[in-house]
Amino acid sequence: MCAEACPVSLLPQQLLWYSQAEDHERLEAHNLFDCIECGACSYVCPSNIPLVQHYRSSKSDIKKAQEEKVKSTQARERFEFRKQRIELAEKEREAKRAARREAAKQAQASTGTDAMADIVAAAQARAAAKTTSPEQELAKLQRAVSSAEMRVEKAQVKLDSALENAEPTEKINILSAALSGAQQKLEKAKVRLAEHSN
Amino acid sequence: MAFRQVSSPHAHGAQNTARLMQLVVWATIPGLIALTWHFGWGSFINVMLASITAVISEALILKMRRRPVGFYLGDYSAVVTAVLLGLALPPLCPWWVVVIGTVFSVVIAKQLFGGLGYNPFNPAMVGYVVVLISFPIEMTTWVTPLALLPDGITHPDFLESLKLVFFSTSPMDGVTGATPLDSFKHAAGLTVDQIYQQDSLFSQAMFAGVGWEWVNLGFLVGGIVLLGSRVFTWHGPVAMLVTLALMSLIFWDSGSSQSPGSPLMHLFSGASMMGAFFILTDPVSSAVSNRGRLIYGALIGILVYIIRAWGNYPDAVAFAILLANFTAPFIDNYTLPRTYGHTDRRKATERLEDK
Repeated sequence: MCAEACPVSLLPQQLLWYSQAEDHERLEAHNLFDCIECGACSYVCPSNIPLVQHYRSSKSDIKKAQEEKVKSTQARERFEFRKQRIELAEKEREAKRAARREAAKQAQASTGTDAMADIVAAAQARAAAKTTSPEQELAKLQRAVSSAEMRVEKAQVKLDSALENAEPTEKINILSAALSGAQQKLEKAKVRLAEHSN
Repeated sequence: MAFRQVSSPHAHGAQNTARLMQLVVWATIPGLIALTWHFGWGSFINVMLASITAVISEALILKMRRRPVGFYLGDYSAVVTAVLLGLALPPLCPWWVVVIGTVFSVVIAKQLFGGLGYNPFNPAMVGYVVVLISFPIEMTTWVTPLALLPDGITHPDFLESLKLVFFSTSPMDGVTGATPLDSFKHAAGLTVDQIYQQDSLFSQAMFAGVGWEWVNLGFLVGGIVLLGSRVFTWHGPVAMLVTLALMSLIFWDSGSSQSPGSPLMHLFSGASMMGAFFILTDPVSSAVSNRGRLIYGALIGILVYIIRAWGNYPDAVAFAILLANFTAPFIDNYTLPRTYGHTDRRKATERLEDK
């Protein structure tokens, strides 16, 4: 009589049976998800079986199982893709290594001295590219000399004012050391400029 | 406060199993009256004895299964099984036949499979077949209908019947005879007309067989009452009766000596009506969809006719229904109704990957 009561023509008896057996495939084949949970079957059931409760619990079980299936599929796909990616990277690296080994072998095969000469020539070329022109070098040295002169003057002024104000001996010592250091640097800059001019 | 039921419906119809079962018991009354009128007190004693045995054995097995005894006895299912078995057994058969059949029905065919709602086979028919195969002599001895008894002899009265049931060691003499189906089975070489002339079972009958036509009419009335109170749908009984009539029409053979009998004789003989309305409509062991019930009923009709016409037993309703019970789950798999909103019927065996 439940089957006659059902407004969407389901078979409540079978659904209950498979619901208790947790047979999800059979439940879906019996269109469990078309159940609108109206409760007509339960209303007429002489045995007072809470049919709709069983169906609802089965529905949520099935949904949960489906979600878990989707999740596990995604996880598997991710894992497989990662494995593939790592394999690919490893292969590329292996290919590079092989290419380098091949190049080295070929270099070995052609005469060894030539290879060395090539390397030296290349290093020389790189060094030549780095060196600046003589005019730039001269200007740079002149700038160094003038800035050193400026620093000597500043140090002289500081030392003079300290002597006038009768500052403590430690400070005067430090200032005079700074002045002599600046004077030495000026000397060196002048020497370098002179060397360059020659 | 916890709600017993949290989802819809939040109300329940007035119907319950006990009422349904009581209704079935009441609906057998016309048939029982006809049986008692034509065949004496035997059937009444069978029904009573079977009911008492069923209640006691159900209580014991429930106790052993540690189930609430009062609750399950209160659903009257054991009584229905007992009443149907009692009606099916021959009147005035020895008491132990009734007791063994009933105990087997209730304990083994029903409770050992899990109780009401879990039995794959109709319990009453299992009990009936067990005693039919075990005690063929007791089970095939039928009382002669009242109208055919010789003058001066009547059926034993109630007390005498009780004595016969409980203390008689040999099958009764004098008041036993063949049933219409027996007559047809053993009347080889006679045409249907000759059988009808020679056998008083038919010559004095209205349309089928003396006594039996009334018994079957009684069950037909009871069945129509149940159909009217929507205890079951028309599909199963109608399919069975129509198929039985069609089969007997096809093999009628215009009443030659090979003919197994007319449609009317088959419809109103033996357990045809009782089987159609009271046995095969069992909601537990039958098919569940309307289309399934049509197939299930038709299968029973075919099987009943085949066993009656060409088998060793004169009647076959019990065998046919048990065989059909085997097929019910299979029929169910392929007869799902078309669900609202779907264009096609589905199969229960459909796998999700198939789509």
